[in-house]
Amino acid sequence: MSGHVGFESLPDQLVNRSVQQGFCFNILCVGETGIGKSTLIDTLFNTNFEDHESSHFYPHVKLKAQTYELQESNVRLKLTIVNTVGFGDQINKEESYQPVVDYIDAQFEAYLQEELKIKRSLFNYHDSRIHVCLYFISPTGHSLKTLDLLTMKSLDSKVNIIPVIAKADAVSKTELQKFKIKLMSELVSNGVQIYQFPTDDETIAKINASMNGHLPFAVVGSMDEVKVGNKMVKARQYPWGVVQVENENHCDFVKLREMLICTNMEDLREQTHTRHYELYRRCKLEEMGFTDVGPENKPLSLQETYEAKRHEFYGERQRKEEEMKQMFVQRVKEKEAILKEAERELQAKFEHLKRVHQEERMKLEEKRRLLEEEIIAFSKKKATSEIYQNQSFMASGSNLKRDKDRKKEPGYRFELLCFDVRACETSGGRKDAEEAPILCKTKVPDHRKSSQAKVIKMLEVCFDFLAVFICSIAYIWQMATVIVIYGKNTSKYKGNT
Amino acid sequence: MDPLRQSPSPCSSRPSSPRTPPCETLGDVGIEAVLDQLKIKAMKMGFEFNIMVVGQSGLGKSTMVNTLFKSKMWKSTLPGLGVPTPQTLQLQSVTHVIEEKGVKLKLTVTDTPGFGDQINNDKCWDPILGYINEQYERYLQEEILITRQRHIPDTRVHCCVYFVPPTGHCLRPLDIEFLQRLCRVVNVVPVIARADSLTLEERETFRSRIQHNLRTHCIDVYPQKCFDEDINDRILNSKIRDRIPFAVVGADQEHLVNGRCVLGRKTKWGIVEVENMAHCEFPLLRDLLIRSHLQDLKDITHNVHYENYRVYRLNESHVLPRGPGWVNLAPAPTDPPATPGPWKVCRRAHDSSDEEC
Repeated sequence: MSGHVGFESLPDQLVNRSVQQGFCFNILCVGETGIGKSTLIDTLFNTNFEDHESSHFYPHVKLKAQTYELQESNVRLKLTIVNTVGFGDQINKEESYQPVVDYIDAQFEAYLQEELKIKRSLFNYHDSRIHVCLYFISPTGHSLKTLDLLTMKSLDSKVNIIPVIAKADAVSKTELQKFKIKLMSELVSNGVQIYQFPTDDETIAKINASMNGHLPFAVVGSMDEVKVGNKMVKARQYPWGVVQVENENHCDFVKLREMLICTNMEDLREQTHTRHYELYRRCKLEEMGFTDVGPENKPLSLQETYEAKRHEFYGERQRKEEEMKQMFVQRVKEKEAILKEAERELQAKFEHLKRVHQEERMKLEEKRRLLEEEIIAFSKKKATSEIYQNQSFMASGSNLKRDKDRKKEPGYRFELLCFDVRACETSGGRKDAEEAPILCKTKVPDHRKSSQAKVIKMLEVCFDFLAVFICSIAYIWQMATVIVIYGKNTSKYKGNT
Repeated sequence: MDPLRQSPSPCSSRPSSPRTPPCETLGDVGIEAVLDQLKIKAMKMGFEFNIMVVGQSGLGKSTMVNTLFKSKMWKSTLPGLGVPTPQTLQLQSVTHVIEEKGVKLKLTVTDTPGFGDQINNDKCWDPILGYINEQYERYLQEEILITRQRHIPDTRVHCCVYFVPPTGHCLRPLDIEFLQRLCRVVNVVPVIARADSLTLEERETFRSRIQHNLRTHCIDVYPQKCFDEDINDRILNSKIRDRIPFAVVGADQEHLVNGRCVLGRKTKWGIVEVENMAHCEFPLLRDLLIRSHLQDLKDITHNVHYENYRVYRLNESHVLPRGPGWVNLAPAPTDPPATPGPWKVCRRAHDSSDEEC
């Protein structure tokens, strides 16, 4: 049976889907500062991406990635340019290429993580894996620098490398040929695998093969337009001539653009995915301990290994948790013991102090008792002595003078033994209390509080008044007699006249 | 609860607006050439397509496949008296590589003789679901190998054509059960088989009844409404959805009509031309399956159905307790996840009016 089924449109369906989805392309530019990376990219894609120059004074190599969206008729391209900033600027360049390798690995890792997720969305994942690395070789004209060799060697298994000779207008044509041959032979002899354009498809095999012979491309980048003939072309103007960027005789820029974009972009992406990424994935998974073939050569599935690992990991974690718990409990116990010990000590001390205090208190009570007894004894004595004193005072109670004298005399009396037991106890001056009873020195008989003393006082006062009265009467009597006598005298005189 | 993945159609990943606005390149850089590169690569690699035809015997499945791909894929089997009807459902796959204008297509057709033929058709869908899941499983195992092949052979069923017998009334319970289970795991395209036994009016009423049945039972046949991306897709697909299920006639014999050699069925009262839109809707089916939506079928199988299966499998193989975010689905691994229990078909909120589920 023959007939037209119609599935020749299948490639178109595929293409339509890709157009709708958009394309993604990531370029990494590695080269020294000032070698013309940004200018070349601008020229390649015919757009001014950014225009500030980077400084030469970065202490470490850093990678700067920027994403742009380009559109040409109906094809949308999401272009990411990653630039190495500070490459080759340091004095010690040992660490120069490591950040680049790390960056590439990080992109692979991100993709691998997404792929291993349970719920993943690969078809709208923004693929950031580097598809091509343009390595810029400076146009010394002699050979590859050591740094270049080292960097390329470490990158060749991770990314497609296309070496380009930058600023190729500094090299003359003959020198250029020799330079290219030297470079390629150095690369080959050092085992650096650069990207070879694929030659297995007949449509592009021939052109790719010839291009392979032109590697590395000597390029000149420029966005300035110069009038040549009667049209404006991109070129670099020198006093001795004009280097046209798009002129095949002047430089290989057109070839690079052809190869990179028009002919092999898809192949670059495919190589990255199927070769470099798969290699990374295999290494990473094997590193994590997964294999395809278990013991006895039976095929092991990733799932089972993963499960086993998970079990193991969980077991490990449980064990560690247990351990830590045990340790914690142990520590707590120890701490508790210490604290208990301290508590006990404190308790003992407290008891001791309390006991001592009790003893002291007892002693003091004893003393107090004694003293009180003494006070009582003394007061009894005093009472008896006062009675005795009163009796003796009553016997000579009318002697006013003596009273007065007695009052006037400042002398002191041994009145009372005062004890301030309270003060002694609290201030701890018990000894003072014992030794020095407070002696109250009295000048004035204010302390005499016995009733007999009061009676005597009253008597004294009466006698005083009596005495004063008598004296006053005596005085008045005298005055009266004087006046009478004077009256008599005067009347006598008057009588005489 | 792990809802059916509502990933948008794979044609959808419009990149979100980046830092710089999209710039028109001044002049020809040559980015367009990447399309040619793609084409060349695709032609070199060839395409794969796996289709499964399901229906009772005698509905013309094998003939239909032959007609679709214009080659004798199958010898049409007529159940003779000596051939016992198979007691259990057996799936038979045949692979052919057909080429047209430089495009190679590796076509695999899976037939299901014995479906719905027994007295007790309970669980007759299990072998079919098992087969579909087995293909997913095979792909999954290949994908999680450490050393993977460059191109994993794709045996997953991309499309399942379900033949509805032309009773003229409505969908039978067997059909409904089967369709409900199958829509969740594979793209299903229902067709009215042997449509030459229905007149045009009968066809229309039958079709509208079937559509009503499908809506009532929340059966989401291809092209699924939730995967429509933009307005163009929606318009195109709604036109198709209006005509689902197609009323088709299969024929693999050629006859002479008006001087042209056409495929058709010759009867006493005329010749039913297969490729004549006035006679049957076979061209629509063919266009849907091959000319316009083949890539879409493959994409949805890969991005949606396969991913759902993968999520299910990776979740259910972990028997350790999990924290939040992990779904522990109940059914055992041997039971294919087709019972309408664990999953709910969540639809994206649409502004279209006929959402009845």
